[in-house]
Amino acid sequence: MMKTTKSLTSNLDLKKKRELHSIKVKKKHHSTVVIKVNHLEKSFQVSNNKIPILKDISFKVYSKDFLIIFGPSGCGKSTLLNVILGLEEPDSGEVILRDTKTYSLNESERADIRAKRLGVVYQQPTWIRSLSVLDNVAYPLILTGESRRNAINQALRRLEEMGLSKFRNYAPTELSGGQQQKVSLARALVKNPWTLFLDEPTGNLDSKSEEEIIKMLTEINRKGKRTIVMVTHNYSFLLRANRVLHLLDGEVKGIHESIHEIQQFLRNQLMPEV
Amino acid sequence: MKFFELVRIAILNLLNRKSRSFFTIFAIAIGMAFVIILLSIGYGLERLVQEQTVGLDALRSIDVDSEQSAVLLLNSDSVNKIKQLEGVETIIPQINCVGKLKLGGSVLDITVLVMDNNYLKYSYKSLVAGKSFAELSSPNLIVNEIIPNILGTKNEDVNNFIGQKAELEIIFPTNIIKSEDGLAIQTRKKDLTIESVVTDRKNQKESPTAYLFFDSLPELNNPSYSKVKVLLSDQERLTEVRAKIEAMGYTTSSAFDTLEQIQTVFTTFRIILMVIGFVGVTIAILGMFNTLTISLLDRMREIGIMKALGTRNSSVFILFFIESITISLLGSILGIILSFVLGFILEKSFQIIALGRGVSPVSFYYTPPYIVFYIILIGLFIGLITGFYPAIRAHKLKPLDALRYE
Repeated sequence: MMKTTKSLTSNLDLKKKRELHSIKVKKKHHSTVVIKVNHLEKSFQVSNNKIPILKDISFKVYSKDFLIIFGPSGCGKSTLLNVILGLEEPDSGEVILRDTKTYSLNESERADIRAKRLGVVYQQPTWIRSLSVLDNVAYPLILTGESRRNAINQALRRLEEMGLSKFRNYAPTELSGGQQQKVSLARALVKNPWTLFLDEPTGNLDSKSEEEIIKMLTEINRKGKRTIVMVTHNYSFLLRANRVLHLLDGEVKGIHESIHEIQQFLRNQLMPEV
Repeated sequence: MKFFELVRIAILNLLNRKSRSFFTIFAIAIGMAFVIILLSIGYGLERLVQEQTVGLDALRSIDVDSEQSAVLLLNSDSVNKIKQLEGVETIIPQINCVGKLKLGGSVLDITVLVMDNNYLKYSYKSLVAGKSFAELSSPNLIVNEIIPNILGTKNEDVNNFIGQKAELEIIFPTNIIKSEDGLAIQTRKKDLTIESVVTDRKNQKESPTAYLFFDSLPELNNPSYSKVKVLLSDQERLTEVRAKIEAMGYTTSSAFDTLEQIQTVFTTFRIILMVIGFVGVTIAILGMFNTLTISLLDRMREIGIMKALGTRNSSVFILFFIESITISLLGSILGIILSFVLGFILEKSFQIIALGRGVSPVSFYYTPPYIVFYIILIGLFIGLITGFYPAIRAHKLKPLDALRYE
């Protein structure tokens, strides 16, 4: 009887814990919405055919989220990211960054928002080849009109955080893939963006570099309280996120907003037959 | 982005591809140097011809005569009227006539020029032997070197001619001296000593001529002059004074007429040279356009990331223009320097060759300072036209298309 009571109690405790956790997550969801995507549609014209890539996508990103947009290759993840970044105009729907409707702005204004507020890291690091590592990292600040001196100081600080300050005068292409991606991350973070966007940042890296990057991102999110939106098809990253948006064939199949849900989703993905 | 930062990135981009940048700049430099050299030869030759033909003083002198008129005389009254015109500095009258020179048993038919004291100073005569122009005095005689040559005196012995006694019979035309006894022709005989021998720097085909001052002929009383040279204080007044003299009824001529003809010919010559020069520049421009377009294709992904990071289209547009203008301006400046060096070498080489052949070296190369300014302007223009297409393309490039470019 006591044993049963104890197990009941422990079950109840577990249930309560889950409920409490769920409440906590829901409470967390009442924090600031930094990105709102409403009924986004996007298609591409290929020869005479119109191929739908995004179909009625709606979701929100909250402050301090680590949101992973997950899905197989070709499901529209990168397109979704580029639409949010203001690089790809949707056919319909809207993207609202804080209180600004992105596509009510002209191209220059969207560029300004990217320059001042958003950080981006792509799978393939791309550089301004005439600039050194330090100058490349400082570039986003130079872009916003920051003085060269301040920009260089801040860039150097970011490189030091990454442990790469000794490579500051190198050409970026002289670094390894993992080092380049870290420099890319430093460049994205140098201006203290509202949100950091990453498109398959570890896609070209070995497992060690991959682990280093994801660890950095986790720290940036947890300790640095930075909002992160990351596109990936890599399962092993899912548990690092606090929210997962599952995309399939251009549609949102589910948004998993707790560890439990994410774990469940992961189990379903890895062992669908169970 | 601040303009200075764009300039910095543009220059770093050029330095990142040193060979490509250098050869493009050098091609522009060669084209520009070619144009400047050809133009400088044109200007130099024009200046040389002007100096040889016209002379600098001639540009502020007017020749006045009244040979066409039997009524309107050019005498001391009319000379005084002309002298009072504003801008007239000096009047140099002369009488042209013929004569016979008896010298050492020979009699020569010669031209006689009765001249003002200032005549020799403003003429193209230079001293061969005898007294300098400042030391010359009346009533003595000056002859040109044709006369000793005709009489068999060699050039090296012309000094022996000085001091020889001669009898000069001057035959005055009727419009110069009116006779009292009604004879149509007036003659005067003079016994004179030859003081100097002169040569004409401009006129190699001069006839045997003797010169004597008006002071040698005191009996000439208010003669009519064949010609009067009017010297102006300022070249700018030439047209105005000339019009006033012509309004008095006299005929005028000026070396300015010759100068205008020379300028017309050489302007056409320079245009032809410039067109030839610009063929070279056009080839360099095409090369530069090609280089810039390749540079754009080379940097597509770079442009993509710049735009993805927030660089405005206008900044990318300006960046390409800065690069093209930098190349063309550097090419122009290098071309100017190259033209000065090559021009100097060219002229010195010709002068050395001329000296080696016993010919007086002449300067045929002249670069007017304003050419430098125009070449810089042309360089700027070249930068704008060659940079336009790559700049527009970079401007219109979508960031994602650029990032995906292979």
